[in-house]
Amino acid sequence: MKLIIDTCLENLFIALVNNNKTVDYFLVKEKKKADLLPSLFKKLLDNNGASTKDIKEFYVTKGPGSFMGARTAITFARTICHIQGSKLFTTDTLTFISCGNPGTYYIDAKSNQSYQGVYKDNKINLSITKFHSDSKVDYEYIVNNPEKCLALFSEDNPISNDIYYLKEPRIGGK
Amino acid sequence: MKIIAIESSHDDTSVVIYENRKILKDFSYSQTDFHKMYGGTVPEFASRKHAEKFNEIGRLLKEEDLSDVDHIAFTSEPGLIGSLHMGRLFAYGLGYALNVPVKPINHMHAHIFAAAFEHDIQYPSIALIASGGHTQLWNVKSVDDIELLGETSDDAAGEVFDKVARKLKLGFPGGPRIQECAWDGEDSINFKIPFNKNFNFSFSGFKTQVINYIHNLEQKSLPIPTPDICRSFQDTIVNHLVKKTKLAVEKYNPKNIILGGGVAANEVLRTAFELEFGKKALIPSKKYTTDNAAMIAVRSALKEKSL
Repeated sequence: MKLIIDTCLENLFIALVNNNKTVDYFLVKEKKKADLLPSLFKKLLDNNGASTKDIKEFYVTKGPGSFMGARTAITFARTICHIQGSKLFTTDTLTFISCGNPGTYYIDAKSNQSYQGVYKDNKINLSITKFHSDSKVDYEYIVNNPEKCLALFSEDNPISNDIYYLKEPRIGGK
Repeated sequence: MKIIAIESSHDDTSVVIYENRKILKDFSYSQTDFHKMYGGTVPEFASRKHAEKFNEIGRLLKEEDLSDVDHIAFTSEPGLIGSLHMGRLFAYGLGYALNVPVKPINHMHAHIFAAAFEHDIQYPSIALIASGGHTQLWNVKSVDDIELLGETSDDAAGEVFDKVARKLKLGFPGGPRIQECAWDGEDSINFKIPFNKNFNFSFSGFKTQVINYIHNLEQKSLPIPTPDICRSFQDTIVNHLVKKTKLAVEKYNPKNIILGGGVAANEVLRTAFELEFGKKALIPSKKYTTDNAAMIAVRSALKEKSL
C-alpha cells in the first residue's frame, strides 16, 4: 500500500492508495495539522484494516507552504520510513498542486507575498512573488488519478534535510 | 522496561533508550551555539533544527535493537509549540513503526523526577524547579500526586540570568556566563528581591533594578564593575530561591528537597541548597538538570511503576 500526505496547504490531505486506486482519504481543513496527523493516519489505516507496516511507500510534500506544515508530514513519515524501511518519495507543494499540468501556481506566503511555481517540461521553477490568490487544488483529480499524482514524486535522499521553506522567518518585531 | 524517550520542548533535541535506571543510548544535541547569534532562542529556527536532528536520530535508531521497546515517552507540554510538535511527530512515527504505545509526559513533572534517576526519592518531597522558562515550587506527595505550590508571575529565574548577561554583554546563555564572571567579584551591591510569605515568585522588579544599575553607570560613563554585578546578582537570586524553598519546607516538613531545571546547574545554588537542606537535598547531576530525555524516561518509568 502507498500513502500520500500533504500538510503544507490549507487542508490536511492524507490518502491510502492500493493497486493504483485511492482506497480511502481524508481532506480536513485544520490549522493544527501536527496535532491531527498522527490520529488521522491511524484512523485511515484502522478504517481500512491496514497497519503501519502495510505502507511500503510514503509520498509526502515538503513545502513551500506554512513553515510548520512543511516539516510536519515529512518528520512523521521519515521516522516511520527509517524504522520500518518503507520507501519515502517527496515533492514540492506546487508540483503537487499542478498535478503535472503545465502552468503557474501560487500558495500564500503571508506578508503580501506568494510562493510561485512555474511547471513546464516536467520541471518546477520555485520563487517568491507578490501576492496572488491561492491556486485551487483539484483534490478530485488527485483522488481519481493517484498514479499520475504519485509520478510527480521522487525518492527522497535519507541523508538530506531539505525542506522547501523558501523564506527565512521574521525575527523580533515588525 | 525499555523506553525510548524524547525531549524537544525548547532548543535541545534529546532521545534516549532507557532501561532500569540505565541510559543504553543517548542521542542529544544542543542548539545553543546556533541561537547565540540571535541573543536567544528563535522558535522557528529551533523547530527547523529539531526536524533535522530527528531525521538524523531516526537513521541512528534504526541501527539499535528496538525489538523489546515497551513504549515511547515524549514531552507533550509545556514548551515552544513548534519544538514540541516535532517531538510529538517523531514519537508517534516511532510508536506506529514499532507498534508500541506513545505516552505524553509533562516536562515540569519530568524535571521534578529527574532526581529519581540517581536517588531514591522519599515522599513527601518539596521540589524547586528553576529554568529559563519556569520557576516553580512543588509539593510532591507521591509519584502520582503532585501539587504546584507557586510559580513566577513574570520572568523565570533563568530568563533573568539571560537578560542581565545580555545587558552586561556577556553572551548567551546567561547562567554559565554570569557564574563564571561572578567568581572574580564581591557581593558588594545591595540588590533586593521583595520577600513575601507565599510560594510565588516575581523577578521582574529585580531584573529592572539590576539593568537600571548598569544603565545608570553607562549614562554617567562610569566603569561597569561586571564581576561585582554578577556576584551580587547571583547571590541575591540564589538566596531568594533557597529562602522560598525553605518556606515550603517549614510548612510541609518533607523527607527530601529536590532541585531541578537548568538553573540547578548553577554551582552556587547547588552548594547553597546542600548547605541549607543537608542530606535531605536531592540534586541531580548537572547533565540531568538541563532539558534531557533521560528525565522523560524516568518520569514515564515511574508512572508505569517500573523504574
